[in-house]
Amino acid sequence: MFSMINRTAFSLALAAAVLAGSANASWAESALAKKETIHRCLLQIYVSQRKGEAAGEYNALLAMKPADGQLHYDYANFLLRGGNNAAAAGQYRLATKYQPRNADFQIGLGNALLHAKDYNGAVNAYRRAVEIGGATGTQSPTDLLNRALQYQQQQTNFENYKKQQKDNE
Amino acid sequence: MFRKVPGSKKSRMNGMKRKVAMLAGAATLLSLFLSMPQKASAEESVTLIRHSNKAADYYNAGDYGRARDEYRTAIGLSPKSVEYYEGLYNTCMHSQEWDQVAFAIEKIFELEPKRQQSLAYEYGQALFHLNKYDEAVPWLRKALVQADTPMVAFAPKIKQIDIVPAHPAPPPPVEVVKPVEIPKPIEINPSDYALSFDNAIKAECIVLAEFEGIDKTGDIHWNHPPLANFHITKNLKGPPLNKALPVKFEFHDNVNPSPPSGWKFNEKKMLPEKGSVWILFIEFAVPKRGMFETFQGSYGRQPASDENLNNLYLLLDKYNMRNQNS
Repeated sequence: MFSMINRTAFSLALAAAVLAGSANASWAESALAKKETIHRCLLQIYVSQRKGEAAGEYNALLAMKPADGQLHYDYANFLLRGGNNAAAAGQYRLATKYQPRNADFQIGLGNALLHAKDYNGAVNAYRRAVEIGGATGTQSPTDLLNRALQYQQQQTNFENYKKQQKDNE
Repeated sequence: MFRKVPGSKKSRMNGMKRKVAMLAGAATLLSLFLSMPQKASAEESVTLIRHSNKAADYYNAGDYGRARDEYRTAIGLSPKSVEYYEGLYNTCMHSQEWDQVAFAIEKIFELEPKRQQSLAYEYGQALFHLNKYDEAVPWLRKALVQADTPMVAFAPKIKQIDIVPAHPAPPPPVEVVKPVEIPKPIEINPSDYALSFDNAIKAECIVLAEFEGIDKTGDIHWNHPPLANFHITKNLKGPPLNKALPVKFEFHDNVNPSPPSGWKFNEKKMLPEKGSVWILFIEFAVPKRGMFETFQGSYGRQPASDENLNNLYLLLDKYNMRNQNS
């Protein structure tokens, strides 16, 4: 009789302990969050040491978070530093698509287009940056816009000159 | 074997046999003594459990600094227990003391080499934060492969101490409960929060802004207003804020907080037209939960009509509050 009571008490205590344990144990970091952390760590390592592999990490992160404007912007900056103007402009476009009211992203797009000699596009991007306001970078959007306007003017003059020469011939 | 003691019924062992029997008895007693748990080690385990329990309590309370100290003491007392190293690395991951994390995990690897797979993520992260990039990469890659494996979060165990103390602890002193003093409500002059432009211009920031729309994520209730996006066109008073201004779009002022009967959110009726210009009285030029709050709820959002603007400019000029370039 006594042993039966003992056994029942023990099994009840065990059940209570298991329940308490499961109440305390919360699930660890989700697989997605874990993967993101790992990719971000690897990205930082690759950006500082092995630049060739960083693009893969950017792509992995963008596959996980395709609508992250900041990530597109960072990737675009990375591409621009590597001299890949066309791809950088594409990433800046995506950044401005997901966060259209960010002046820094518009300035980035303008810079990439200016490097790619698309002065009309650059002027439009800088103009939007001036309209939005609140740019955090060191470059003044108004100064950049004025410079792009000068380039645009020069390009127009050059094209007119070429046209005139053609007509004269 | 035994010789009779003269004048008694008891037998007596002869000399040699008695010595053998005594030796055997001593050996039995010695083996019994050795097999019994020693008092000192029992005390040590109690101390260990106390430190372990304290560490668990501190960990659960979020006091990771003290939890780390307790785990380190427990490791000092029992350097081959994996559970204290586990506690140490989990605690130090929270407090981001990566050298401690790396130390604890390396000890776990020494004691249980099979754990290398399951702790790759934590170890890789620790090495990364210690700027040991070359060492971190293989661990992080290993962790990436098995990132989908579900893992249970660390929950420190509280252990029971089943030892009855020799001297029962004295009963705790009875605390005299003092009656709780109810703080007196702060008296505010009603004229300070009346709904008027005179009070509204005391706001830290006053701007003219165009309404651009609301953020429709989440439920919208009377007391759970949405985030409205405004675009600042003119900054009349206060610091230069970002042109893109997220504002808490209150449906009521703070004087009449109860909802009218049958109130239901209607986007067409309750929201202004996109592109319409408003005067926003921002009481504190610091956003709360990502939104700027207007003076006295909806009162701090006034249409930029000629009459309102005239009144506002008059008051701002009267008290010399207007920004120079506005």
